Amino acid sequence: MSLLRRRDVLRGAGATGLLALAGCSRGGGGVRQADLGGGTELSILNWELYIDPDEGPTEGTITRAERERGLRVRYDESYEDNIAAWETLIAPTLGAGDTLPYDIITPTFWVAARMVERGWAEQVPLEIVPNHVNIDPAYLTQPWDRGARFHMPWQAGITGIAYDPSLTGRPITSIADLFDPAFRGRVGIIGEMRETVPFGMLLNGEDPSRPTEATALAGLELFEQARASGQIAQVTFGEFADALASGELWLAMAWSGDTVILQTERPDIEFVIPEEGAVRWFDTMVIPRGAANVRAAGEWMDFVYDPANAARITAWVQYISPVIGVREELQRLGGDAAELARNPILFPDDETKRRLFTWGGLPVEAEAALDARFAVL
Amino acid sequence: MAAVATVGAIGLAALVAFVAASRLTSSSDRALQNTGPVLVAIQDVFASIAEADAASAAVFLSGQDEDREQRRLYEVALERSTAQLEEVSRLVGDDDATHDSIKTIAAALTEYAGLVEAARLANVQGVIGASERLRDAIAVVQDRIVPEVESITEGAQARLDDDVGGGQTATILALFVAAAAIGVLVAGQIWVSRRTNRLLNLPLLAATVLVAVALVWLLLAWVRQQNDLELARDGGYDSIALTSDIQTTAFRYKTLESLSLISTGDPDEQVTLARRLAAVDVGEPDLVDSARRGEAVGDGLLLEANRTADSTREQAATAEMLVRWDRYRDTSEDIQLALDANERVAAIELAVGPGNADFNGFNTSVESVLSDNRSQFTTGLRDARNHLDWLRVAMIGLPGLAALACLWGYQLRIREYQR
Repeated sequence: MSLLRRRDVLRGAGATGLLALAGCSRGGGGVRQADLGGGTELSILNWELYIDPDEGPTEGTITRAERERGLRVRYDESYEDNIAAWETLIAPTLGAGDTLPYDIITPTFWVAARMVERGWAEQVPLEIVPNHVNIDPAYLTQPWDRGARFHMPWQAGITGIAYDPSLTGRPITSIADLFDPAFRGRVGIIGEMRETVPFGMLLNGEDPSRPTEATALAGLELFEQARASGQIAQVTFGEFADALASGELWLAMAWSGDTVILQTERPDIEFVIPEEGAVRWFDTMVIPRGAANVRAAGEWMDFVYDPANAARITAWVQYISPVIGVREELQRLGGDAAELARNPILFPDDETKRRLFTWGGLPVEAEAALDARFAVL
Repeated sequence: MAAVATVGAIGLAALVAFVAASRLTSSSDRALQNTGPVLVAIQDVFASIAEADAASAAVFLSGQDEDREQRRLYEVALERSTAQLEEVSRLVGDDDATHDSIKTIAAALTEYAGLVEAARLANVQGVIGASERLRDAIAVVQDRIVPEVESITEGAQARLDDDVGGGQTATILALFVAAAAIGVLVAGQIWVSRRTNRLLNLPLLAATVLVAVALVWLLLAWVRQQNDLELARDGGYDSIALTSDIQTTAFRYKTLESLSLISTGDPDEQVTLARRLAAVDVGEPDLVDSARRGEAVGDGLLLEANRTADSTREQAATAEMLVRWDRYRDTSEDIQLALDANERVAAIELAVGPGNADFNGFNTSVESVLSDNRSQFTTGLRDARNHLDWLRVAMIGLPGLAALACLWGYQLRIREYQR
């Protein structure tokens, strides 16, 4: 089985791509740009397999944006790992007052939060992005950027639990099921601290959107003990899908988008939001400080936030779109796209949304300590 | 004798100019470091309490399966309001009246939080009286917190007006005295030229130029400072006040909606508040397009904010505010329709789902505008202060040099006379 997995990783694979990036230029030195730049050149850094490509006569988003907005896009898919990107590219470059060779980068939200908090992000040029009104309000209440003035979410996902009912022999409903001795050695967890620790916190009755060092640590310890006892067999990224498909794992923490793709071949695999809640994450577009082409970046953001364009991206990447109106556009497209519009993983109902939590973040040093301890898992 | 009179005139000009410069500087410092931040902080306090109030009602509506996101917003807003209140207390210095108001607000906030918790507990346990406790909590905000916030705001606004006008009399007097000193110097020059063979006494000319430079410096600094302070007040603070008004009116609307769902609301007041925000259908595409150019036509605070936007960015941000208000208002009308049809459960589902989401969308769009306005306000205050850099030094230094030049000039005249 060959599955297209966007978040497949790459994430754990290190920073080779980032290290090979073209040299970063000496630039703005933290001075807010006086103008937005009038160029049509646009350089984007994104994760791999995260946008619809040209397929035969059907133009992909990049080609259409170039044609309709007069942009010349250099699209780089070498963003591989948040921690590596932060440590080898973003912090050393922007922290030194240099500029990145990109007008838009698309890190996961917590990296974007760090950039915004340090003043390393340009404001979204609202005057060029009328489609900013189409951001789903769920993404507007982030404490680090209320109103999304410095970022625009690209795609979002849910980390829940996927399982094979024929192997578990019963429905999975709770995070506690990951620790059920009946499934010893058949459980997988996700190798991303900001998704797995929140699961432990939710099981402890804590709110991951407002973690403290103590509550986060208590959440982590649950998984450390389970890993040591052999309850948890694998710490995976996108490989959970293959492991579930082969029966190697019976249940696993799982990414919604990868599970949707898995379900096209294994419709019997279930995806659940545990009763305690699940983790919502999102990758988001940020204009790095001193970017040369803020205007072109704004044009791109506006283009991909047009619901018709956003729907095409969703139909291909199959993650949750942060753009209002995408569901209606998918219905209008018909066929497989209309089928996606009915998928509760892509379009969770209000009751489900209320059980989704986004990691609230800790001070950098505390998160680094948690990252280090989690990495040992 | 002439030398003593001239140097005396310069000394007097220096003294008055220094006093004027000091008063201008201190009023500008006060606006930048005290009055301005107090005005911004007290608006923040009110916005945070209003947000907490709307969120607590939303939590209550979600019933036993509590909406944790709204609960998070409530707790964060309440914590923020307490911290902001402490900031106001720190900034106001020894203003007893403001401190009294702050104490009243702090006590009311504690009572409010207690009532909210009591309502929450009763709600979760299904105990009778939960709604009454929440209504009591809302009444604490309306009856005890709002008047005190308004009192602090009025006091701070009056102080800002004082700061904008601060040092004016002294500056005008200083300009007259400096002009008089120049007159004395010119008279001295004429007197000297009549008693020597020289047409001009260069040191006296230099002294005149130095005093004239001081006068022009003071005049320009004052005009520019006044200009920036007025810009900050009219373009920045007035916009903050308008946007805050939008925010609190909308929060009041949301609270009334929640009360309608709990038991007793006031739909008529809701309609009045909605009209206060926008008297026209702000969802019309033509109107939104006009708003993006800052040309939205119609009555209401939202449209006024759009028309007073002074940058393309702010016009876009206020246009977004209109669109998001329209979305929330549509949902709100659906809630009211459900209530009118006695479908309370459906109405509550709408309120805790899309209603809360749309309202949060609107509220954060208002915050964006507010944030830009604050930035404009503080930038204006900072620019105003920057015009006064070195002013006090110049008002002492330039006349001091002028006095020395003057003495030198008369000394030259005495030497020539002795020869």
